This record gives sequence, structure tokens and C-alpha cells, in this order.
Amino acid sequence: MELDRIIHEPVRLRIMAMLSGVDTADFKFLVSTLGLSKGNLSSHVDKLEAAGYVRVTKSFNGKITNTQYALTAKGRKALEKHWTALDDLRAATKSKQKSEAIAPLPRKSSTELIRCRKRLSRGAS
Amino acid sequence: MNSSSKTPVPDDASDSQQIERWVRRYAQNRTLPVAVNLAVFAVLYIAIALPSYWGGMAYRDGNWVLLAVCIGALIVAMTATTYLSVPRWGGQWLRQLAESMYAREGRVSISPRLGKRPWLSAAVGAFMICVTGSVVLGLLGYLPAEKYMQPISAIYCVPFLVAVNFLMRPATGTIPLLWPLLYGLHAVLIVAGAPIVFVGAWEPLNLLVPMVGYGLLTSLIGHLYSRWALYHVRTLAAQSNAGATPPSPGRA
Repeated sequence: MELDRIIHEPVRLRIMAMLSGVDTADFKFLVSTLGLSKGNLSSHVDKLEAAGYVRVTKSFNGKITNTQYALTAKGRKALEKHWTALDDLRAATKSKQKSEAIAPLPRKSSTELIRCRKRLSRGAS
Repeated sequence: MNSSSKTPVPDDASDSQQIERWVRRYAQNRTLPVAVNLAVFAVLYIAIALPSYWGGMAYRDGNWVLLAVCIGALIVAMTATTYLSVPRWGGQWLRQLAESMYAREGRVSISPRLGKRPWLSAAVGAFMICVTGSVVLGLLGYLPAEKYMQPISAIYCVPFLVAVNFLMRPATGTIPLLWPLLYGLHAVLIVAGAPIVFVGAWEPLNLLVPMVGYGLLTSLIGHLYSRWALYHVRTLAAQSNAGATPPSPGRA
């Protein structure tokens, strides 16, 4: 079970999750929905782009730049793998907690416990 | 890549998984452009229908001034319809107008799968043949009275709207299916004798009201749902922003 450190960071995970729901999203949409500063978003997206998970396309609408982001096939695959790893980890944690909660005391420790209680009650009387 | 043995599963991981779902729903239901198109073409329809009706009356009464005004209005309305119907002329302007409605939220897109394009063209072609056919048959007197215009149109409009919805997937969700559903229900009610038929001078509204009215209603419901989805996306994204680490240049 391995978690991809690049995706595992909360903001980058959210960027990836948003892009996996659509084909493309622009810079404005990501800034407004994630509630991040422009610099912060750019920095995170740069890391995702460097990892080959996100494709950045810049176009001009008159004099205004429009930056569109899309997940690459590699990014989509990495995200799916990440979800699977998280699900496995969650299931493993759950089963561990369950087994710890249900496991009875060993026979030896339970008899020890009874003896202690008896000694304590004798001491009190 | 690091081993996960020391990596805790964040509580917000499932929130991130939900973001994907809600963003998709939001993008699928940005339906205001449909409402704008419907409203514009409904206004043009009325702008053609009224001068035609009044022009006919003016001609019969010998009111040449009113007739000239009606013909002028008709020319303007028909020119506007032609201009707005061509994608490179007014169609582009309409698209820009529709896009400006979501300008503050930014752009998201989901494209329909390309393999379905020939089927979409076939569906539009079949629909146009049905519309032309029913108009010609109506003019020749082969179709029943105007009262049943809407139920007859429902025979091809409902399958067309359902087919378009499925062919445009995943760009569309399930809410647009409300439009053919209501249109079909309207037709059933007319056939059953419900008093929802316009008569006399208002007869053209028998088609306009269900087609444009249910279309507008569906797109408004879709738009409201997109607001709900956007609220979810923003809430889910904000829930863990407090715990998010700012990026540092040296660490990936």
C-alpha cells in the first residue's frame, strides 16, 4: 500500500479531485472554489504539472489570458491508485480497531485480575 | 513514493472523493445558456407570430398603415432570427452572452464522447424531417385539429429530447430529462381531455408554452441544482483548507 506524496497533500488532492470530475477547468474556477490565493494555486499546480499529472493550456481571449487545466491520463491513473490505496488503508485501520476492541483478555491476566481484586477487598476490610 | 505505514489517512480524504462527484454535477447543470437561447428564440417566435396575425387582420380590414408596420416588424424579426441562428454571426454573440453569466465562477467543461457525433447529427436530421413533415401534413389537412398539435409533436419531440440527452452524456446529467417528461405528460393530459388547450387567436401557444415553458423550467431547476452543487464543492474544499500545508519550493 503506497500513497503518492505529490497527490496526498490536501490542496493538491483537491485540485486533482476537481479536475477528475470535469474535462477542463480554468484558473478562475479553481481559485474561487478552493478559496486559495493565486500564488498558492499556481505553486501547487506547477508541482502537479511537473509530475505529469496535469496539463496546462494557455489561450488568449482578446488581451485576457485564460489558463485551462486538465488531468492527464497519468494523473487520472495516479488519482485512482491513490483512492484505492486510501480505501485499503481505511479498511485496514477499521479492522485493526475492531479486533483491538473485541479481543478478550488472556486467561492468565483475567485470573490475575481476580486475585488482585480479592487482595484489595481483604485489605480494605 | 513513500510507504503508507506511517502516513495517517486524513479525515478529509472522503471529502475530496466527494468533490469529484459534486464538481461533475455542477458542470453538468450550468444550464443558463439553454434558458437564454430558449428565451431569445421564444421572443423571436412571438415577434414573427404577432405581426403575421395582426398583418392578416389589417389586410382584411384594409388598414394599410398597420399592414406596413407589421410587414416592417416581420422583416426585422426574421432578419434577427436568421442572424442569431447562424453560429458564426449572432450565435457567437449568444454564446458569449451565456458565458458571461458564469464569468465570475470561471470555466469548466465536460465534452460529450466524440464517437456519438454521427448519431447526434442523425437525431437532429430525423427531428427536422418530423417537424417539416407534420407542418406539411397539417397544411394539407391530413392531421387532426390544432388541439392535438402538441400531442402529435410529442411523438417525435419526446424521443428526440431523450436521445439528445443520452448522446450528450457525460456533458449532461439526468435533470434535462425532466423536459421530455413534462412535455409527454402535457400531451397525455390533452388527450385525456384536461382543459389546458389554447383556442382562437392563442392557438400558437399550444406548442410554444409547453416547449419553451418546460424547457425554461428544466433549465432553471438545473441552474438551481448547480448552485447547490457549487455550495457543496466550496464547503468540502474549505473544510480542510485550514489544515492544508502551504507549498514550499523545495518539497514535493
